[in-house]
Amino acid sequence: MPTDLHPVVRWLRRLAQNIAQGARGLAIEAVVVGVLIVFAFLLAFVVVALR
Amino acid sequence: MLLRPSPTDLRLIAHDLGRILAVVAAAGLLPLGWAIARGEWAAAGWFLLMIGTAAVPAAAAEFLGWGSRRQRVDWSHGLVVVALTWLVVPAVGTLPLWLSRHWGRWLDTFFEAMSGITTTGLSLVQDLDHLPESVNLWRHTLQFLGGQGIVLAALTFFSASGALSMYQAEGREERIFPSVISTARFIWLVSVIHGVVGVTVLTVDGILVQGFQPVRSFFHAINVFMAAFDTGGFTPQSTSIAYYHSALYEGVLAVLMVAGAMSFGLHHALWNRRRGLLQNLEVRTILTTFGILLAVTIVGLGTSGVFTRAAALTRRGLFQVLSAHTGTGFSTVSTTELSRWSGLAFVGITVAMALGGMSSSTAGGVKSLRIGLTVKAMADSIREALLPEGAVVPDTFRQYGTQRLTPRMAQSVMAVSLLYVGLYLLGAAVGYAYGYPLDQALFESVSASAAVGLSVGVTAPGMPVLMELVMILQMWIGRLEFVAVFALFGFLASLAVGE
Amino acid sequence: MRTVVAFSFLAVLVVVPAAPAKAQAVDVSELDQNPLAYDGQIITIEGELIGDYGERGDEVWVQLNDDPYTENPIPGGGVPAGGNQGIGLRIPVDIYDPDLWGPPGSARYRGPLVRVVGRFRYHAAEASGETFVQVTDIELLDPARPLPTGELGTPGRTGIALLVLAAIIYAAARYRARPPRG
Repeated sequence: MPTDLHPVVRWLRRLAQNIAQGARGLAIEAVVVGVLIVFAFLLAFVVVALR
Repeated sequence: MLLRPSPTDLRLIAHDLGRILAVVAAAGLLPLGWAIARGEWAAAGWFLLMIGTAAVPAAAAEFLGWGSRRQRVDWSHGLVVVALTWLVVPAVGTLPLWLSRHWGRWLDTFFEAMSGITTTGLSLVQDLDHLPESVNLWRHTLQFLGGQGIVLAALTFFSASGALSMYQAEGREERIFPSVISTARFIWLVSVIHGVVGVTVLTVDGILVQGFQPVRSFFHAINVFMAAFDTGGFTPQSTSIAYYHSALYEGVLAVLMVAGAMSFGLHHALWNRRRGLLQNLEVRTILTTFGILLAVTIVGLGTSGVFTRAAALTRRGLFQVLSAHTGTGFSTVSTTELSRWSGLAFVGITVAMALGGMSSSTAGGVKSLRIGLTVKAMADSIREALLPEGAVVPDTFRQYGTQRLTPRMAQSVMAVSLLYVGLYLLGAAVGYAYGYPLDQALFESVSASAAVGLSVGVTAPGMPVLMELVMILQMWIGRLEFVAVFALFGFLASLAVGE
Repeated sequence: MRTVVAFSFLAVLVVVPAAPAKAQAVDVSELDQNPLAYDGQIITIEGELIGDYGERGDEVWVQLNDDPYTENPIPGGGVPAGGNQGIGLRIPVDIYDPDLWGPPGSARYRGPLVRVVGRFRYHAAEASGETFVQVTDIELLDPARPLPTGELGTPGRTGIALLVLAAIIYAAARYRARPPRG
């Protein structure tokens, strides 16, 4: 990171980087929940159909 | 022979507790601000009293300067401070609860505060739907404080022992300070980012989909965010998450609960695009147990005949299992209905609660790493017995790199797992002795010990005092994973009989 | 397709006039204990509207409580008498009148007391498993009334005194810890 930037600009850049990293984490967590929903629905569908 | 602690030891502990009370006083500013903004003047007075009560000893500790001669952080001293913190903070935190008159006796407010700080979520509040918003916010703030703080405590004091040797990589074997501060910063960063995104999405959802007023929507959002991300389980209204009647809201909370039950090591790995996470023992264990218990619960519910459509069954089944396994304690069915979930559904939910989330997360329970290591240790010994003499069974496992499962580590892991089983049985025995059905007594005991908060109705105003005390003890011990509590008992013993 | 079915089902529910003669008077506890016995039945239930009015297009979701606090909420001088008991209501907008009813119940208001007639639905398949009362008729028994929010009082004044004391002690600590001059 260039050091001649204004501290506020540097801070904002770091913040943006953190948010981008965090968004990646959140996206993966959402995908996990999505996979769980699909898995649970398929299971529920089979159980309800077989009953 | 036990060594009696010196006056300097006691001063150091008092000094640290003073610092912690300063944090409590600062945290109290949040509900105080809300009370003033919303014109809840009586409640504002209760918070001023609590803040003042916490601030005086905090300032006195600074004045006496007992912490200034500290050379280095002593391991057992740290553990004693942690154990005491989890008693002192709820005790001070009861003040506004008690003054609000929404709890039957003082012990109920201590139960509530302990349930909050340990991120359990069992509640003895009465007429929650008329509770001042600021007091409600304080209940949830306690969960946030406990959730954020316990992680720090866990990282600071527990991570370098037992099964959690993975965090030693950060060079925290003796001088814990430099890396702990950067770890703490990362934890706060993860929490703030989840907080900003979570509260924004929930507030917008509340306004646009549920049709709430903006201020109320924000109020709901900030409370349920703190309870979800810190796997707490308190809710602002009496009907828990069923109050919102919204699949979308439940979905957002599901993401936050998953995030809360993930170890911060895993958060770090995800943020930094580390590969091969699915090979980690803990990730594999939690995905396996989750899949199995979800299947068990859905088959149990599906065959009971309550749900006739797959969509309804998925929504209710998944949410309760997720809430149980992550140690949150939110529910979208009533307590009465949950108590009727028998057979496989009961087994699925109870075992999910008992297992809990990942280590170094805010979830409670035995925790996935211990489950994975216990299974591995048992499988290894079976393999050793079956293979010809002299055959070598590899004792390595993957957890952010290859690690060795030493006999000592296996022993410590199994000892803690066994202690949890003992804690679950203790509460079940006490409940059964008081005349509750065994299944209900066991459910509630596991819920308290594993810091979950789901209830089948045993936790209720007017419950027997001894049982309430046992549950408070279970929440406290279960949350601190035994070690700190044992250290405190040892410390007290050395005070009494040491030389 | 499913949406169309769901909407036509709702439309039928809304259009079919309430039949007070057949409606059974129940309370929330009874519905909670024996939900299957009342599923799909027309019921009458009385209580306090509480929490939030969730205005969602052509209907409003709100919780109805029928516990001891509907008459005597704790902030209004009531005494603790157990937990709350509530159930969700779905009210068509054409019979929703917040101006007449007043705000829903909270620490600041005892919410409006109402008597509703509607069809009880338990894990309704057409609403992805929601449990609620589909309201067809609502009668206002007593509009919302404000509850006292109190004043700072003795706890507040004591708290301020303690804070001043803490500030003095802290200032003294800083003064003592100042670096020596020169």
